[in-house]
Amino acid sequence: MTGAEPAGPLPAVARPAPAALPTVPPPAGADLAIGLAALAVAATRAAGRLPRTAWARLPLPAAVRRAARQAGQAVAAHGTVERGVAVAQLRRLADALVPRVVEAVLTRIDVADLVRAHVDLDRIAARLDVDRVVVRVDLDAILDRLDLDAIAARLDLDAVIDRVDVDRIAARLDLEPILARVDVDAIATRLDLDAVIDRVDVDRIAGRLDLEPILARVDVDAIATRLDLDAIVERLDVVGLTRYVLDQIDLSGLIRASTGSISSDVVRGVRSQGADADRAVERMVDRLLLRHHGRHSTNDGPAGGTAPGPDGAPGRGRP
Amino acid sequence: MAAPDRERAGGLPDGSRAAATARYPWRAPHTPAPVPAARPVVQGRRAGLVTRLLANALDAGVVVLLLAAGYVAVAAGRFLLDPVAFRFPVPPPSLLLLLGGVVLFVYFALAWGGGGRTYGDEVLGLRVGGARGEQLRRPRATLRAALCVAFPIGLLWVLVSRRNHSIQDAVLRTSVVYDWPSPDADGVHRP
Repeated sequence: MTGAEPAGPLPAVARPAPAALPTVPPPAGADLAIGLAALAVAATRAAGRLPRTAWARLPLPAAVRRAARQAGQAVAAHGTVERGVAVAQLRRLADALVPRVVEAVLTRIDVADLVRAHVDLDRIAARLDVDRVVVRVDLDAILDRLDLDAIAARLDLDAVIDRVDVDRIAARLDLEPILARVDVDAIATRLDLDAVIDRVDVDRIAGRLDLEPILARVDVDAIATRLDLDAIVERLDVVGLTRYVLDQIDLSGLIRASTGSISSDVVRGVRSQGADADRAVERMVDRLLLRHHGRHSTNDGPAGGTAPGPDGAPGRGRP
Repeated sequence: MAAPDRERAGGLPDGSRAAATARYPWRAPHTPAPVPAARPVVQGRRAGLVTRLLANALDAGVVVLLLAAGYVAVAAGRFLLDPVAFRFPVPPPSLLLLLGGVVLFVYFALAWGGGGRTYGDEVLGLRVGGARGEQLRRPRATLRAALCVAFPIGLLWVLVSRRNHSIQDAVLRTSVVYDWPSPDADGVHRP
């Protein structure tokens, strides 16, 4: 701060006019003592102004001069002693008085109001060279004295984060230089991945994954090319699998059913073709006999057994 | 596996589907086998001459087999009785004809009086019943068997009869109808 004084003289500060002191009539004895002391002081000063050469020119005997010099020296020595004693007493007096006086003064004066009324802090601050101040601040020392843990413990980080517009910050971040300075290997070495993974809800992440674009980028053919199918087949219980499949599809039953259906198809074909041949012969004979109404070849009444009627209804002919 | 493949092929655009079909033939759209046209239902109608002749031919074959079995039995019996003097018997044709007629009569009478079908009827899908298709009783079945054996030519009347009746049918008021289980009737196929 000592180097921050301005180079030029301070401008005159407007001061209020001193209040008029109350006039008290001094006592007459005091005035007389002050007058005598002033005369003594003036005489002393006049004596002091006498040049030493004038004293040397006085026609005095050598003995008197010697006695006077010795007397002067003795008086000077005594004065020196007295001065020292007086100074010591004055110091003690000042030590005792000054704190009390200052305390009494300060109790009667509102220093803050006084400063606010008489000092233009804005002008002082305007003339401060804050840059130079900051340059001289020892931030390391300050930081050494700070208890950052205590500060962090008192911080309401949620409230702070609520007020931060992370999107804006992220949009303004130039990540490239930051990433260039990050030693990812070192970070990875220090990471406790097990602990991280334990805290991850993998099911939730999988539920939010859009697998379609991922699968669209997967080259399944390449994966299939690298598959060792022989190894897979070797681990498969092919015989058991085949037996299970054959049991499920009931191959023997299928063969039996298909054989039976073949023979039944042959029989049904013979019957149908026989019936067709009957109809053909009937039509030919009817044409030869010039019949125009065909034959009435259905039964007169309800038939027994399983024979269906002419309309496909089982076993019932027309009356 | 076929159904998902067809679905996958069906979800492709036309060009991709053609390419996929060329590369994977099993992914071609499935074309079901052609269904035969529905035939007119003949069950319950009186049978014509062709099927009845065929049935009689089969029955004649059955009778021949029975006669052959009888012949083998008689020959084996004779051999057992007198192996030294054994010779295959040579029955006269009249005896064979008579035996054949008897066997045929018995066979017809038992078959028609029982289930209404001989073996030939069974194969050709015929059934012998009354005028309304009802089951024949033993006496009428026996009479019909006798008439059929004695006068087989009466079958030819079917050709000219408007009701597809043979002489025996006309006399005894019987009928021969097509009667086989239709697979379309109840959806279950019975051979």
